[in-house]
Amino acid sequence: MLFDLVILPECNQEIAALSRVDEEAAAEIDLLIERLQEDQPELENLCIPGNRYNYDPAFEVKLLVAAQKRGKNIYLVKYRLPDGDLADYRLLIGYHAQHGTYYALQLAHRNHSYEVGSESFNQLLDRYEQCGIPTYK
Amino acid sequence: MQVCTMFHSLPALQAGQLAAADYLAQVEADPRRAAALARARVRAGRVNAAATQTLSQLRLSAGLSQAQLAERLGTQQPNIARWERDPRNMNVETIHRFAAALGVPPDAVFKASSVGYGA
Repeated sequence: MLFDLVILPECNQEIAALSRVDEEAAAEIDLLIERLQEDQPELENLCIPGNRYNYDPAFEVKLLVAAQKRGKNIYLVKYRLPDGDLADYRLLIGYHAQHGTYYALQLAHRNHSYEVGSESFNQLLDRYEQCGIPTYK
Repeated sequence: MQVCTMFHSLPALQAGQLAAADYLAQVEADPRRAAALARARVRAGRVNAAATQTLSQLRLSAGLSQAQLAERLGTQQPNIARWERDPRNMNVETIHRFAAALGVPPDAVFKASSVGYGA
């Protein structure tokens, strides 16, 4: 099965906006997208949470528990900088298991709160549903 | 692979959605963002002085994506991914061509190919 990564226009705009204020931070996200797009086995295994220190560049994948509890298959993908620290920005990615398609839904800062009921959390869930990704029981 | 392709059905992209490859082409078309991405690759390719760079780190240190290196080598991006994943697939000629395309001594690529992917 081939796996795909799709970038939502809203996420595209968020990264573009970041590039206007912090070029290097946006480039770290672009590099993460490039890395995921380049290697099929990485996409194939992306939804298996855990550290990915073995990849160049290294990144981490974690379940977004608050979303998972609502049946939404959403993961946080964080890029690990060469000095070992995590990059300030990360991608929130939804996974459509039946199609093998990942959707970059939202760009978020490391201090971003994923508080249930918050505007950004609701926005994230809306984007997930608009992609047609199933809600899992 | 042909069979997998037959059974793979990418859902139609909605308005404004971009496949990652097209998104990255958009980034590369912007000189400012392309330069920033190249700098990010170089930073990602750095290792400690005592460590040996992997093949992917050598490529990143040159500021190149797999697609860009593939173009320099006259091959396809999946081949670069395959070699970086398992450098044992590389013959001597390929190693020398890799080194020339990256502007590094062949010895650097020989060492990287012995480190392997994910070391």
